[in-house]
Amino acid sequence: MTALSVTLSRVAGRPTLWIAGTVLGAIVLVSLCAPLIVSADPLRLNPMQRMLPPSFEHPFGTDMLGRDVFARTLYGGRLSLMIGISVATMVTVIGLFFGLLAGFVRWTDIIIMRIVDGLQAIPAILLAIAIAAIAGGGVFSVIFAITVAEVPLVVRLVRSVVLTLRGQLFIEAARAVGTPTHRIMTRHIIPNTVGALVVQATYICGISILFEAYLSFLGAGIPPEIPSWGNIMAEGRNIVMLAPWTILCPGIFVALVVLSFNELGDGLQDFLDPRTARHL
Amino acid sequence: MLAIIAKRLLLIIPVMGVVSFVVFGLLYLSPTDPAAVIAGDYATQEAIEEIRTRLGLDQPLLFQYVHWLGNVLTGDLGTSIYENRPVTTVIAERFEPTISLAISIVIFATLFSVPLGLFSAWFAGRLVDRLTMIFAAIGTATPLFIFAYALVAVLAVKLGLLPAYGFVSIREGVGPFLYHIILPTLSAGLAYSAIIARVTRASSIEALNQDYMRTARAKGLGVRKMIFGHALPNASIPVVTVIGTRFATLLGGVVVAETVFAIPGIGRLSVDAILHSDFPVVQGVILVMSLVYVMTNLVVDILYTILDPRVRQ
Repeated sequence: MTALSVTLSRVAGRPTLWIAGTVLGAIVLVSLCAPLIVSADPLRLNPMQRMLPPSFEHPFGTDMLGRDVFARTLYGGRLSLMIGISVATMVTVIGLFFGLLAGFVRWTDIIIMRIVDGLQAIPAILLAIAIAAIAGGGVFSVIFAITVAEVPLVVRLVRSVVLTLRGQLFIEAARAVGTPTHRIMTRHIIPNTVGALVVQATYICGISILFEAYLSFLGAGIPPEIPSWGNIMAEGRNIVMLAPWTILCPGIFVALVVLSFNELGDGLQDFLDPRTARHL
Repeated sequence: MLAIIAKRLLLIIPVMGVVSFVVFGLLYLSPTDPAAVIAGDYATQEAIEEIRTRLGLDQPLLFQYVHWLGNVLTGDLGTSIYENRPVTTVIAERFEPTISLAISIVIFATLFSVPLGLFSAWFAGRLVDRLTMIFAAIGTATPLFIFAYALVAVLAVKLGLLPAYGFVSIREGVGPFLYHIILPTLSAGLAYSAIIARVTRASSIEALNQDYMRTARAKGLGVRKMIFGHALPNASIPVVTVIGTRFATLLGGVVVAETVFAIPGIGRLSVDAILHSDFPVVQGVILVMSLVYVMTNLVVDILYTILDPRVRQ
């Protein structure tokens, strides 16, 4: 069997991976193509049509200001997905940098790791709310806040990969023949962190989307002018018993996307490291 | 044993040092001027300057940090700007609901998820197991206020079985306490119990595949003895770890549940303090919660050495 057919048969053996990929792809697609799918303006207020239950005209109903929840959910997906991807990218880049630094440069290790310990000792939700509020609230504050809360894990991960690899024979051999450190790093270490990083980035995408929802729900997230899944639900909070669809519909989108990211992460993990594959 | 505890206690010092630095730094990264917040909306520039001098906010940063840390170490967390009372008092008042809820969630999650995970491991690959895994996946992916509102809508509003909000101290009777805490526990505990179920399942599958289990089966041990005598003690170790490492998940759930159910706890206090720019309270809460987190992990590590003799070496 060729490598490709092994891959395909392994993916085929996990139907949930297919489902996750399809669901995620579909949600990304409808979010990107939102203007083509819904004619309703997600920001247009319509006081005459407040809190209408789901109907043919408004598939997800309308909110307390008469805005179409379906349109808001599709447009909100753009922002929420963007936040997920931005955080995952930033966490990966920053985590890789400091992880490599800690793993390679002895004296930075103790400083970086103490900071990581300290950051991890602060409950993530409190740290993120504090940073988001202090950074002024808004899309970039939220991205920054979630990044700070998530980055220690990746620094730790990269560092542990570096430390494991450093003791291995092929690195010692490379060193023995006089390969400079930066080359060892780019040729041998970084390629070996890619697998673990991609898996983590996938999980972090999902976690960040959920995180945005919590931050907005608690009042420290995205301001209400631009719809995100989090702030649509936050605005639905006061009318939850009158118009539950304002929270439920975007909530289902969040759950589906996070579920898909988690499943993709699990799938990638099994694929990249078949030893840990769950054979059940 | 004592040496391990002493060593772990010493390790807390640098961690809390960094936490204190971050917590203190947060205030100075903020564009909001604490003196202006205290002075109020209609204060004159002189009044703001006077407050700044009185609080020592015009001093060099390092000096302020040392001064603040000195106060913190003697148990003085400053005065709340919003409530004009000592931060320690404000936090102490709010502590009970949060701790009650957190403990209640841990108890619920353990009682519910450990048997579920074990059961699911025993029937690995079968329908029960699949359903458990689906529950675990959904439980960790759904924003937990969705569950909270769904439970409120059905159990509180529709059926009127439980109150939709509020908190009653356990000192006012176990009945009313439980009556009020069931819904917050169920809704906030879902994500947490999903994680515990998953971890219990994974560690139980591993425990069930060990040689000693085959030996147990070979010598004709009953199913109950196999599970409770061998599998459960061995599978319980990672579960204890989860309680420590996932403290943040637990606290996140508590914060959200306090908002949904209008529980006057630390979570709501911290969110309000952050939104009101009540810096001393923000610093105090983060410091106290981090200390609780670190101490929880210490206790978990100690439990770990008790449960698993191999770690002691």
